[in-house]
Amino acid sequence: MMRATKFAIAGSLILALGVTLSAIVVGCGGSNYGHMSESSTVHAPAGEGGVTADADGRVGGEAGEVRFDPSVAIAEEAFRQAAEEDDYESSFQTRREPGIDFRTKYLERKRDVEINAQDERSKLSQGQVNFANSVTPDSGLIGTVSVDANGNVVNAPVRPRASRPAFPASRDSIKVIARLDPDEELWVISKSSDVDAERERRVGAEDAVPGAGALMCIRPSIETPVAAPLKHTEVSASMSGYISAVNVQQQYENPFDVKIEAVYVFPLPQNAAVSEFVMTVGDRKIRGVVRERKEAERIYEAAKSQGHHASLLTQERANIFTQKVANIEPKKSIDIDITYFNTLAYARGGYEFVFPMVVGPRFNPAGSADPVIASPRGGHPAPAGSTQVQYLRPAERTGHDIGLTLNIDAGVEIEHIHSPSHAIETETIDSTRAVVKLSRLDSIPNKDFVLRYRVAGERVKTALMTHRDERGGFFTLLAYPPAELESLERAPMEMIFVLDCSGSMNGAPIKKAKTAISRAMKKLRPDDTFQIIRFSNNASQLGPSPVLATAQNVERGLSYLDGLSGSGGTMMIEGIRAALDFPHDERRLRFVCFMTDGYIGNEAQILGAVHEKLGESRIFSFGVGSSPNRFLMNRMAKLGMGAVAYVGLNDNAGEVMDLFFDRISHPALSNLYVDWGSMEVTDVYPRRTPDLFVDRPIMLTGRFNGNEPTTIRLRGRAGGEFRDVLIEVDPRECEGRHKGIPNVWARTKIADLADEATYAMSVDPAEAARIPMAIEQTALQFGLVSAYTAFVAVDSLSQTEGAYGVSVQQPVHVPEGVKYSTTVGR
Amino acid sequence: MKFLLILLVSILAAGPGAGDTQERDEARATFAFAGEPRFEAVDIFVDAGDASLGAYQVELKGIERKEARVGTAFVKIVGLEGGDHPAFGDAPYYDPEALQGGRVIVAAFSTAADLPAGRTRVARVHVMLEGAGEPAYELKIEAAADRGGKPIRAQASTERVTKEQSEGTDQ
Amino acid sequence: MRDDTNNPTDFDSGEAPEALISDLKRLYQDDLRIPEAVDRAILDSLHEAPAPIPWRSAKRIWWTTGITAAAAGLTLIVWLQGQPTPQAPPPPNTADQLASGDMRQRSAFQALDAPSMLAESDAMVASVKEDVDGDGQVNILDAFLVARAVESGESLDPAWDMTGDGSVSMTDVDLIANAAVSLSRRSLQ
Repeated sequence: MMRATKFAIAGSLILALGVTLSAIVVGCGGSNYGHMSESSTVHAPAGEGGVTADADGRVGGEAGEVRFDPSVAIAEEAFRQAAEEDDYESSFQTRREPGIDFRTKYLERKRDVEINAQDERSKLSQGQVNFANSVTPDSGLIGTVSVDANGNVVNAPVRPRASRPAFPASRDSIKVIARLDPDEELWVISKSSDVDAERERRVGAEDAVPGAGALMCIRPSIETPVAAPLKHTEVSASMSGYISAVNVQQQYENPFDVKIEAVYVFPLPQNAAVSEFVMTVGDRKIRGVVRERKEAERIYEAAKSQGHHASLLTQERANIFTQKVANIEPKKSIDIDITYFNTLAYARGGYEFVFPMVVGPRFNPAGSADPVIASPRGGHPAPAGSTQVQYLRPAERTGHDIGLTLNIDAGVEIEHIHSPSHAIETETIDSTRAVVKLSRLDSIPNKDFVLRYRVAGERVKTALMTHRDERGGFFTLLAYPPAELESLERAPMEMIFVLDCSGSMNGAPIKKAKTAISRAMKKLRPDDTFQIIRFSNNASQLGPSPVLATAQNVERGLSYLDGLSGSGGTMMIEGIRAALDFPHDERRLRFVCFMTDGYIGNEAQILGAVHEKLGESRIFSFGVGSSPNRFLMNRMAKLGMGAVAYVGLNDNAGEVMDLFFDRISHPALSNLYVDWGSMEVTDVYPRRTPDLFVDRPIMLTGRFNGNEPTTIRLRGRAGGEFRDVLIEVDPRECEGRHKGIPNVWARTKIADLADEATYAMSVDPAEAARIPMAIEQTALQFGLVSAYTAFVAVDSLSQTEGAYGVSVQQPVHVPEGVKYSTTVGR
Repeated sequence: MKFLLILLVSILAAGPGAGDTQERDEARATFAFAGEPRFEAVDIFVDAGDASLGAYQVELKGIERKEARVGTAFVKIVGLEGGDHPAFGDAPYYDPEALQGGRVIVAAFSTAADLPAGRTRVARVHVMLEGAGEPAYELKIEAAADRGGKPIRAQASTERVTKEQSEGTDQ
Repeated sequence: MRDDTNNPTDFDSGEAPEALISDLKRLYQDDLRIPEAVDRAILDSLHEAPAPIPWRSAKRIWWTTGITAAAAGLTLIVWLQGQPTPQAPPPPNTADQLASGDMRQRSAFQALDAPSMLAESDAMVASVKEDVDGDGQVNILDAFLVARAVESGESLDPAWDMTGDGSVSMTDVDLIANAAVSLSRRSLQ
């Protein structure tokens, strides 16, 4: 017995030891990437952000090296060789080549890094930063920047090494930056190419904004520049009530002498239910099918490798899609038609149709799991697991334009149609119908198209739309707040202004945001309190806690606001923590106003934090700029039980803030409960009914049975009392078969599940694990693209010759108002 | 005795790990087929005889199966195309849910003045085949009508088409 | 004997004689008085530790427990190994249930005696409407009929308005055609 016990104990100890050793080996193995500290940062001059170093100024891990090379294999090799050589530090040389800045954004370990070298120091030694000069996919020059014990970052271009034939002689020396302190960030930028450098020298100040010209692509094996493959985009939309059906046709033409695969990352509205997909090859139209995403990708890759015409539409985010078209033969074209349904936003007596045209550049903080990478046209391909959008330089303009036609059937008299973003031509059919077209004068696709039209009547009747088919009944309900809310007084509030002061906000966007905040501060009552929080790489605020909105405090706040500017990264998570983490004054309503362009890539982390920390607060997100991240803005507002507003570059920021203040100046009908009467209702989304604000209807969608006229009752609190909103409906009268309604319901359900997924892991891991399957099933059942499903189309009878060619990514414009230099590179 | 209990408890603790998630996930994966997948098309023909074909509806089986069948390849639909005649040039109607298993209904109509008569290809289903063996399609015509909407008797059939065969026809 | 309330046979007045009442109470009254010593003895016995189980019995109990637990564990292991691939959870899943659980409402407004269109499934209601030619089936010929009428400018039956927008158009045709190819509809017929 004793011996047996001893054996058992010994066995257990051996097992435990083995597990421990394995963990150690795994943790230490692999590249030095794994040692990059995320707990401290080093910082370059204002305007840049980047890699981390420890408190001693050492950048990177144990060997003091961190690599930032989109070509991981090249960087790995460089590090390995550098690590083998004891005296590589002594080979330091300094070079200065005035007028050359090395700029390329690329991603390493989900982190954007740039070194903007403007200065030179001669000392170095502890810690080095290796980075890649992404000239072409093959060049991969590795430069070295060292950080000494005093935190000086110095220039140490690498010696060319014979064993690395991919690395040319180091002519492109990297200059260095200022001192790096612990907890500061260093951004590493490397030069893109000699050709690009030459082009950059020709770029003058007048090219700071997109101008005339065509996008010319240069491929390594092709001398003559040629135009980009996406020739034209044609959008046609029909709006019936508050549901729009939109068809987007993309015309891809191969200007090269070899067949290509075209890859295009583009935006659609974040609530778009993409339900149809047709590939046109010559005069043949092939309709695609929705499949489980991995399966669709597998089919596409197999077809591509065998030379078939094939196309694949996948969704990267709720509002970002990737279209791939394989084996477009030389000088031939392939068209892709995508159809989606979505609901229109309604505010201030009018509907708003938005067609996004540009994916804004994103900032991906440390640890982003699925980054969206901004890179200059022709830059390195993105690492696996990330989405890359290539941007044009200011002097370049895409060869593809966009045409847009909207057919409006409002059902009620249309009073006014206008677009704050583009020039339009309007044709009135009758009092309730009109056709709107994008003017030919304004067809550069570098800003979101926004159309607003107001309809007659002081208040639009609450609209219930239903659809029944073999799957059952579906409905959408647009419910309006009661008129008497307008006459109630609001309680004192605690207003928290959170301002994005990152690099992408620099210029017009931050000016707009500051104007809006100033306006709001002047509207506060003396018994209100306020706080101003700014964030970029980190967050700071006006004072330790909110202060009463006395004249003196408001003056102080305005002065603080005036001193803020845009530079650095976008660590929005810091802003959220700062805004929501401090105790809530229960005597007041807390409103948190986020002013940001939302150019980040870690939306999931942000939304999770909002869900976790919201409490009794309400979040109002203000999307600033020409192409704000509407997905993030909308989600933050939804999760935050607030609302979203957009301040475009052509919008009057003060007026937008006035409208917001009008809204919150009357209490909302909050904590809503819905009694659906005799409508047997299930699966209603959103699951958490939003507050009902003055002049802001809420949209609910769900499934139902029942056919009897009934009264739907919305009950909520306003001004300290319970109040009811009664809606008389007759499902038979509302009955229609708008085929968009089931798709809208399915899309809303998918969005709700996806939102839940952002925070479910911390709440209910078992439930979180089931969400992807639930989304996939819903998407397959309704034939929709989602994060887990994709459209694929293959022409099995058109098999092109030769290897499947090279991939050409379609570059896009940097959104209007965003500075290319601070978000992508010069 | 105590040792036996310790041993049994250890086995209990290790037990669930034996049927671990990874193995289950692998078991869930689609079948691994030998060889590359191959692509071909299935042409659907409707023979309306002397009448002009205005509308048709057929049911196609033998696709999107979930279970294996010896000697029969797995078939997945990867695209739907219209027919030869311009009247049926657009891709037909089908139910996306049908891709979840077994069969699909395909239908189309045309109000064009020029309609096909006799045997005409009304649709083409692009498919990916995996696994050894050949596909086994079954086609049944459910409805057909002439230009006036009057139901007519029609025959439906399928033909498999590869790239080589198609080059002489519709290119 | 008193001649009114004390007459035992006279209950017409609804009152029993007082003497009878008090006698009955005494007879059937539970005596809840328990001697204190008994109380104490009972409570003391509750606080005592249970007597130790004889060794032989304890050993038997341990063996039985151990073997039972081991058998259960081994059975579980064998069962887990033999389980087929877990199936995807059937829709609607917990998320749907969470969503719908607090939203399912039946109101007092629902008339219980109204002719019940709820007796038919809504799916059947839908399919009847799409059967435009009245042949008992919903197929492409129904869509074709409406499409021809729309394109030729013939008179349009308001019953063909599937969308409920007050007009008959190709959108309605589209809806009918989609219903025609729907496999879900077939499973109901």
